[in-house]
Amino acid sequence: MSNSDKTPAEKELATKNMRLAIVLGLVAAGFYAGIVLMYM
Amino acid sequence: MSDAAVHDDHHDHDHKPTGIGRWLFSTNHKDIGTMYLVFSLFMFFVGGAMAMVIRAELFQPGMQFVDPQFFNSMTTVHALVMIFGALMPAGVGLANWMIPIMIGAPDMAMPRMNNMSFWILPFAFTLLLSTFFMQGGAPAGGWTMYPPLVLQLGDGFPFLIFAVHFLGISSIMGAINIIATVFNMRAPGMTFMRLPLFVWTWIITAFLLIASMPVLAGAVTMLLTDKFFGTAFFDAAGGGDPLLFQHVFWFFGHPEVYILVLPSFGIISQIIPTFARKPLFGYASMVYATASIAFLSFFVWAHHMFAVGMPLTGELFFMYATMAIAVPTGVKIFNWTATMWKGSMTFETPMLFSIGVLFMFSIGGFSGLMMGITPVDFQYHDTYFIVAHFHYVIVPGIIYGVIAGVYYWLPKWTGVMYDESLGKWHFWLSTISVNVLFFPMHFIGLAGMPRRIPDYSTQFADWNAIISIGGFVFGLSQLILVWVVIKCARGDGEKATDQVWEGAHGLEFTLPSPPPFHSFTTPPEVTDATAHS
Repeated sequence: MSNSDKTPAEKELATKNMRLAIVLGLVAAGFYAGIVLMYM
Repeated sequence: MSDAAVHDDHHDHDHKPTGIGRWLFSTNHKDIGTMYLVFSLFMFFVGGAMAMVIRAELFQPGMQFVDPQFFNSMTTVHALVMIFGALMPAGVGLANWMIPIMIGAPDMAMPRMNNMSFWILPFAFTLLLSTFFMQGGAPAGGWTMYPPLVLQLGDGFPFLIFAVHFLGISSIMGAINIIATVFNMRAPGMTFMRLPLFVWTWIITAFLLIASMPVLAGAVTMLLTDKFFGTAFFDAAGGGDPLLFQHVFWFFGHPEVYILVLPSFGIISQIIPTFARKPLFGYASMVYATASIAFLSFFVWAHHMFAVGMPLTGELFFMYATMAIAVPTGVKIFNWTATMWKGSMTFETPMLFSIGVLFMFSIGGFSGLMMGITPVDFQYHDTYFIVAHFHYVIVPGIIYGVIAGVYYWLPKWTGVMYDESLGKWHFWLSTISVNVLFFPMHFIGLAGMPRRIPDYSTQFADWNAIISIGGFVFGLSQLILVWVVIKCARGDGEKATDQVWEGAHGLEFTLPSPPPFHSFTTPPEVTDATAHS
């Protein structure tokens, strides 16, 4: 399904999913960088 | 979920892609789940073949078949393949297949990322297994990759490190997808406290993955820079500390145990109520116990390394924290037992494997408590007692849970009932052989046989021969599972009903067997207050 085929509700859901994924991805990246930087 | 109203008008135009493209570019959670499960089964046999080499070499004292370096590669890569290639993908495969249809979602939240999470796996394992053909051979310093030993690995070292990084990336992407799916895509009325226990255990596992996999990635990145970029994180000569790696590794490593076992707990929490024909006893306490186990798992890492020497306060802290995990685990064991109490029980294959988990995971749990007692751990450390302990946790605790789940949901996936007598043969052959394989390891471990050594004193010869026979029978028994799965996939068997099992509840059992390629395109309304039961 292309982006233009999506209903407003589907677009909103996709945005919510993406926002949560970015937050969780940043948390994971933060743990990764944090553990290395802590022992530098 | 008897009064859950399900509206799915998509069955009549259930188009699915064809050819190799269906699998390469799949964004469908069922196809990706199937690929994860097939990959996991394949890697189970790859890792199993390595276990057979180990047991063939240890059948008798002295060196028979392989040289010590190759033996060490076998123990190391067997563990890496089984943990990252067989167990974790099996859990993710079951999550992919079942979570969307258990919560009434049309698919996973991010289907393209789901595809990428899967296809990273074969790539990562190609990197890892290619090291067998390199100068210096495959990793041989143990799956724990302790420096300085691991730094002595030849050309395969960067391949090992990058393989671990890719496996971590795959797991984290999978975890993010599961969290987003459950948080944002539940059907109306599917509140958190109505979620099936399998979904709950996976949410908690996903958070564990996000918190612990980056720690492993950080540790192996530091190994890489120590080897190639002149840092000295773990090099005492440069002001570093090799023990630091052990602390960081086990900060990942202990939660990893629960990453593997919690989904298995979730599976048997679905199965036992079905075949006891009673709601799960203590649903809320099961959720809180699972969360408690996950939380506590971050405070026990040093019980893996009592023998390195640490302050008495540290030893006491990690000993008591380890004991504390037994409390929520005991809650779960009690609840499963209470669910069966006075139930109208039948013993189909999924139930047999679930009861197997209950009994034999407890054996592994109790030996874990023994080695959590600091003073006595010094006797057990690095012996076959440890090998016995974690294999009881992993094989009958985790693999049995996955197998139980496969038997339980296979009729739903394929629309065909599996062959019950083959299933029972599989269970009994596996259960007898797995105990012949692992129980005597307690004896030889207590008597002092060290792990990861290809030769041993003749006093251990008899038990080792028996253990190897158990290993060969267990390995061969798993071919029955392959045959059962092939038969179902070919449609060879009795047609499964939508509910599949008389006592089964849940949204997944309101769908046809097999479910349509696109399910719950219109969300169902969950109105039953006891949806999780």
